[in-house]
Amino acid sequence: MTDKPDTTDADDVIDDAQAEADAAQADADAELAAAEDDLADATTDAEVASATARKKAAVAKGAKPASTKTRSKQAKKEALKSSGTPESRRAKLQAQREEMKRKERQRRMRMYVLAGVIIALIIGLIGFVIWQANQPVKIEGAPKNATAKADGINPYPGKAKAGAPVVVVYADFQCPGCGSLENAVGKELFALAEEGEIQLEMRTMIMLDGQIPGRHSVRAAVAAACGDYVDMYPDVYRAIFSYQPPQEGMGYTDATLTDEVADLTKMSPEKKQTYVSCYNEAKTKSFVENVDKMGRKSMFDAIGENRTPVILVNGKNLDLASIDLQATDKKAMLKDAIGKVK
Amino acid sequence: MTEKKTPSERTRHIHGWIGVVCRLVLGLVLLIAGAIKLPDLDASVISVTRFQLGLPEYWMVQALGYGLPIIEVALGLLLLVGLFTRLSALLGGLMMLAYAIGIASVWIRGIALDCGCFGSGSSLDRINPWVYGWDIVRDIALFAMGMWLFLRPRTPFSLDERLRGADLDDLDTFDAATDTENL
Repeated sequence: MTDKPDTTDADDVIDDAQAEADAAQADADAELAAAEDDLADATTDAEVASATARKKAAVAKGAKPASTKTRSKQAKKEALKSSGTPESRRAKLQAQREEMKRKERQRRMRMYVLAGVIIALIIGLIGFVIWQANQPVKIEGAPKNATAKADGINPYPGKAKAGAPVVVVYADFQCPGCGSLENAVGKELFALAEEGEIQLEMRTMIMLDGQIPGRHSVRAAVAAACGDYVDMYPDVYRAIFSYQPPQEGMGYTDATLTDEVADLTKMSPEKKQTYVSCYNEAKTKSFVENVDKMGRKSMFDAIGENRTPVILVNGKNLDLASIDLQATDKKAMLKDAIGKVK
Repeated sequence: MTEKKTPSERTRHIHGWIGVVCRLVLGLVLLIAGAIKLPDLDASVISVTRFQLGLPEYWMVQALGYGLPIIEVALGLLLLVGLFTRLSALLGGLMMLAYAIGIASVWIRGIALDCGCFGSGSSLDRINPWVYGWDIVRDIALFAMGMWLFLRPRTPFSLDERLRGADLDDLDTFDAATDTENL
């Protein structure tokens, strides 16, 4: 900054200077003094020449606008004219300017490099985050009825009749809409799967944990998957939903997810022990995380959005509004609604 | 030496200070908006899907969901320190315009962006026109700040000013002028 040339805004300043000419006339004496000061401070030839010129001009004409910024075009012209050997003076100035330009080009190059580094850092960081998000989860302790890709649970494997539609349910134990759906047709859904009318696959999502503290979604999903450890997945799944708090965000206590669920589903003592230790050791956690992760992608691929609850029939969205809550025979109604999805 | 300010200098002075305000406001909004999303980038990806942009591939949604908060923080910091102000303001302003268009599109299509529950059913009744309208007005105002800075990127208290050098173009015209007059 300090060795910055005074030519940057030369044209503007000259215009300004023109406008100030009258005022400057009156300030001639002060200007002379200022020029002398500058001469004393001057370090470069150009500054010396400029200050000298201004001094002369101030004395001779009695009026020469020259703020610190205006030692530019006119000042340098004066310097050239008043100099004894104009050619050598000009050559010197020229050389100085060339040097200045070279430095300026270097400075700009450094700025481009800096910009490039910043952009590369940002792109690299985003790339790394996406890469990491798409790394496969190392799955340990997947329940036995987990699907081949470990992206869900098939509660009634091998029961589906030939040609039975594949029904995939995406639900989050914390989502009120999922609770309503479970209340409305959960029992019938599992019944249809047990009878082989549909091939059911449950995918528990934990997306709401991002918004609600307490990791209730993942803990509830871990508990449900632990239910499959004791061959009671549908019962445990439904029991957890029956304890869904009336207000979203209240979540589930560990006691609810262990003892209360075990008692409600009337687990034998041995099963309860297996179930509770599975939950306490979070054995199914990596499986549950994988279900959620793969579920986000598969749900997006199917409906272009991530939300819960969602029911897919052979990969197509089942409009939940088509479920008639007032139906007397809910199972038949549900089977009908599933059959209508094209 | 005390100088009287000419009218154009005064205008430039005022423009500089308007620029500082734009930099701080747009920079802070970008920085905060990005920073609150950083701890849970997966939620950010879900938010992107809520706009139902019709992106064909999931990785594109991921790129937006993971990328936007990082870019917001970077642009916010650049604007706050005033480095590469012109480019940062252009990009930040265009992001705000894109958000405004996105919200308007969602509003028109009757999609509830943030019901807080990902619940199902008719989302229309959860849409508050005041919320969407306010968001759009706010984003357009921020876009305008970005455009101001794009057109007048020189502001006081910026790294750009500290790192500023000579203007090569001015230098060339100056050389040409002095040369012809003296030859």
